Amino acid sequence: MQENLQTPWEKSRPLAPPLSAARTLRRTTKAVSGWLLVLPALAILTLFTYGPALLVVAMSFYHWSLGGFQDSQWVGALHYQELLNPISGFLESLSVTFYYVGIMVPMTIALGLGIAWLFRGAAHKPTPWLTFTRAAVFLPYITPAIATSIIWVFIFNPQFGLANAALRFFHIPALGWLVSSTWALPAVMINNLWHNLGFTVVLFLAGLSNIPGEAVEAAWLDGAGGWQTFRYVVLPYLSPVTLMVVILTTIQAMQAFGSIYAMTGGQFGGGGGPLNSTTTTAIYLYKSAFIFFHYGYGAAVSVVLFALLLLMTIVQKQVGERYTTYQ
Amino acid sequence: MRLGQGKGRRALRTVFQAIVALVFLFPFYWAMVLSVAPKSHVFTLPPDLLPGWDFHPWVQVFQAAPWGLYFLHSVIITGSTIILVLITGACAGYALSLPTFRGREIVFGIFLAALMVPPEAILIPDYVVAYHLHILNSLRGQVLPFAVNVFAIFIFRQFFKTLPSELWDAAQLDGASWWRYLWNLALPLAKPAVATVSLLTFSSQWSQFQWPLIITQGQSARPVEVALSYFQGFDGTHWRELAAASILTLTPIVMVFLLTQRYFVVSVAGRVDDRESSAPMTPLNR
Amino acid sequence: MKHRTRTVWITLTLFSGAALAGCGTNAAAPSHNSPLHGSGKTLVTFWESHSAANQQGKALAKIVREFNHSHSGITVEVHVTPASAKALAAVQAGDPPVMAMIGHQPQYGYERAHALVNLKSFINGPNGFSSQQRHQIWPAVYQAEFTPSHQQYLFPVDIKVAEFFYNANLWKKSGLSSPPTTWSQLMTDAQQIQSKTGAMGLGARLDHNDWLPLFYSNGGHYYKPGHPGQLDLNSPAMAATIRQVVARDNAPSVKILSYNTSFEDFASGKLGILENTADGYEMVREEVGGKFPVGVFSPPPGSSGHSESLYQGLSFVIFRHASQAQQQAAWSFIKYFDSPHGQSIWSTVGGEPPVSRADVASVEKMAGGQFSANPGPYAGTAVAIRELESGHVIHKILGPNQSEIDTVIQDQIQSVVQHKESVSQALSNMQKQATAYLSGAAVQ
Repeated sequence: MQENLQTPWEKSRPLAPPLSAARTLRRTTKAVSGWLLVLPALAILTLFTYGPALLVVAMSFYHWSLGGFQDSQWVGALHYQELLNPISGFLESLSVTFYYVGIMVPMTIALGLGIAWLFRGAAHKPTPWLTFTRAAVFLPYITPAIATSIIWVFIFNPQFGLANAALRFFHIPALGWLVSSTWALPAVMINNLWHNLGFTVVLFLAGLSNIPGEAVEAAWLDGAGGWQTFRYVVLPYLSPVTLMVVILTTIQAMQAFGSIYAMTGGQFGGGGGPLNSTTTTAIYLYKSAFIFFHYGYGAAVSVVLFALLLLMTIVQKQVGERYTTYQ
Repeated sequence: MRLGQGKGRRALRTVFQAIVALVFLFPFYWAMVLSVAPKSHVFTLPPDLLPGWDFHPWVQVFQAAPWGLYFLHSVIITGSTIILVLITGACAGYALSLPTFRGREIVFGIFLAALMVPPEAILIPDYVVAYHLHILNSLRGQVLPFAVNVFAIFIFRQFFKTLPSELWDAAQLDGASWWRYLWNLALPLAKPAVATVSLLTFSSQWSQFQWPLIITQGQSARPVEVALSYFQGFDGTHWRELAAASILTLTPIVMVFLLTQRYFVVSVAGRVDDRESSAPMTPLNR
Repeated sequence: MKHRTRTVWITLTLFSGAALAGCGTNAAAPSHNSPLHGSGKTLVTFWESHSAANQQGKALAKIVREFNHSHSGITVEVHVTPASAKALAAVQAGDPPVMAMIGHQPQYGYERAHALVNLKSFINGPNGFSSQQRHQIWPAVYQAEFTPSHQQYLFPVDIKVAEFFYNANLWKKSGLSSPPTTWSQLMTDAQQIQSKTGAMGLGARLDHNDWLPLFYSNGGHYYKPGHPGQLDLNSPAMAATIRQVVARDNAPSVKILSYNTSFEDFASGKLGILENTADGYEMVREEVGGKFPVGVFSPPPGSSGHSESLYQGLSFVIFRHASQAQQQAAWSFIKYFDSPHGQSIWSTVGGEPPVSRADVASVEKMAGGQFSANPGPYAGTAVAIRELESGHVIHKILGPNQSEIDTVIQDQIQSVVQHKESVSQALSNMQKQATAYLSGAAVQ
């Protein structure tokens, strides 16, 4: 570090031709330096990402003990058989997850696009009002889900909560929300929509800002109406962003944890209730490994989750690219 | 013809915008109201949106747990992570931008592969690694796994690529090494990238929950989020106190956001324009 | 010049960052097991899960303060932590506390990890409990502290027995004067409260193991008598239990409440009877804040003619990881806690019944004349003591797979409640699934 305090740009140095030995040295340094610079990042990623990605597969074939391979017992595919056994609850967690993802993704796209369209002025020339309202929509996304979920638990209180007060106002019968095995997951969805929508809106706004004004004007000059302009000019421009939102929302939804944990009493045995109605695969994985301490079994769940996410991303990309136009 | 309908429409749109903004802000307002409402006004039907003042819950919250300690932990964790992410990100991003770095493509591919690994799927082996490194129940254990952010590497790489090559040539003429070039010339110019990476790291690290929940046990390394969830578990019946505690947790991140919200929004939106890094990436909030 | 200042500045930031990270490292270094405090005292870290804002937390803090004051060589330090789950992870990480309060079921994980001190040597030791003293501890409570292989890692502290709280104003308005003596009368009373006052009759808790006391009260048992390995869930007693739970949960005068908000629901004055446990009485009274008197009664008897109330709760454990001196110090604290003085604080401030029959007198003394008033400030404790004295208190059958079996039963009963299956389907399913767990065929 000492050396760097001396900054060569301050003095003008005579341009002496460097010695050839020094040149060779410098060339070697150049070749090595790239590797030196990426080394810290690669080392940490190896330790906490690449290594674990391999380790998780190996672990899933063991009755794993924290001591390591020598303390663990090889059980072959036993954990995978167990996953398929309906009693284990894994298949149920998968169906809860798909239900959750299946609703969250289209809702996020529809609402995100709708709100972005409402704020589309912010994409081109943001006024203070638009900047403020856009910030309001984005704010929940950067807050810790665990903290805001606590507020939502209160909003969904069956007796005094605002959710039921609103329903009563419209003369709709009140719901049990978090104590009901039918409505607990929708309550979680509402919280997470509120929490994550700002992200989608900002992505769509960025997409909207990429649409050249001439394209829209040309459509209008051709006599296209508002809906037609939106459908045939705006949407095609937004298709790459939409594909990205689909993939990111799916990944996010498959891994949702903090909000479900906080809303369904995670402190009392890991959450996911009532009656496993909110036990997504992420919650199931957490409980297997860190409530019941079945690390090997949890690793098998992880491998399946891993494969599913990879598969879904690839399928979405393949199918999505077909309908995507890059301008 | 279109201009004619403009005014009424614009007014209508403004009203809708206001409604949407209110919906998104309301839970925060509700938490604040709850934390200072007199007890008799909390459980009423219909809910009382403007009750009076009672700061007793705040006193209770501070008596109930050593929040100062938990905040210190969170600040140390977040601060150290930002610094490490900046160092690893700037170094690796710079290397990837070097035309002279042979193996650049391979390394880039390796980094890209890291984005394909969902954090949830490697939670358990990460715990095993942390166990063998003896960093369970420690602050280090909450920093090290997040010390590299591939997204940050891409941001820096993208930035360094925009620097004109004449800059590097001039520096070489002056006899500067790559290290001096990076340290004295490139990095000071990279302020926007530094700001973006710092903000994104701050927000993701402050919101970290599952990993600290798993690896901390006692209170010696417990961050504020985990403390809050325990507080919810043990004091689930003290609603006003709970609201106060969650506001306590939210305040730092909301303050930072309000001060820097333009940067924030631009940082997130930046992903759209950068197709390489818009491959499925680690979501901001785990 | 400009460059130099910038370099210095960045370097400083980096160093201060590294220093921060470093100081964090120090703060995080395992500290529980350094036996000596800075002042030469033996440090006893104690993980327990009663928030400092709750009555039990306040009582515990008071006892700890007095103990530390009167024992100059020991410092007990309370860390509010979900110990049942977290202490086991801490054992695996090599950094457990010295002592903790954990549940009955979690002890098997600790036993497998060889983490706990067998307390028999302390109990039978010079600073232990005489056999006469041991016999004074409530039998159901004390029996629950042993594993099936007669090891004793647990020592009782936190005794939760089932109770019902009632809003005495609504009760009076509905013309009720004495607690229900049968299960069906409880349901009629709930109906009567609803029709006379418009309030909800009975609030039950979803997460409660309340089918279990019903099951026992109806004469049921988990295992076939004489066949300890064979479950006996597909029985008339379980069928009666399911019907009772279904009738209760689907009755219009009964509402299922979430644990989080049940006290507020009751305090709002719109709920006649709340199903709960003894430790909740003080919390409910605090929540109600004197708006109406809160009375207590014990669960009504089942078809066997007597009521079997369930004992649940947490127990003290000491970790083998701790030094001899720390284990000894932790035991002195347990002794102090279970002394008549400690118990009188625990019962009057914390609102839980004392551990031993021998402590009842000192509890009554500290409570003063109001002890047996119902409604009254100590009614929850007084009723709990009467339940314990009656001998009709049961503890859960304990065993390594029990929580999984209980979950199966609970889920099957709820399926009937939600009309997803018939009683006979639920009976055969629970027998089948629970047997699978017992045989180890299912992992969790």
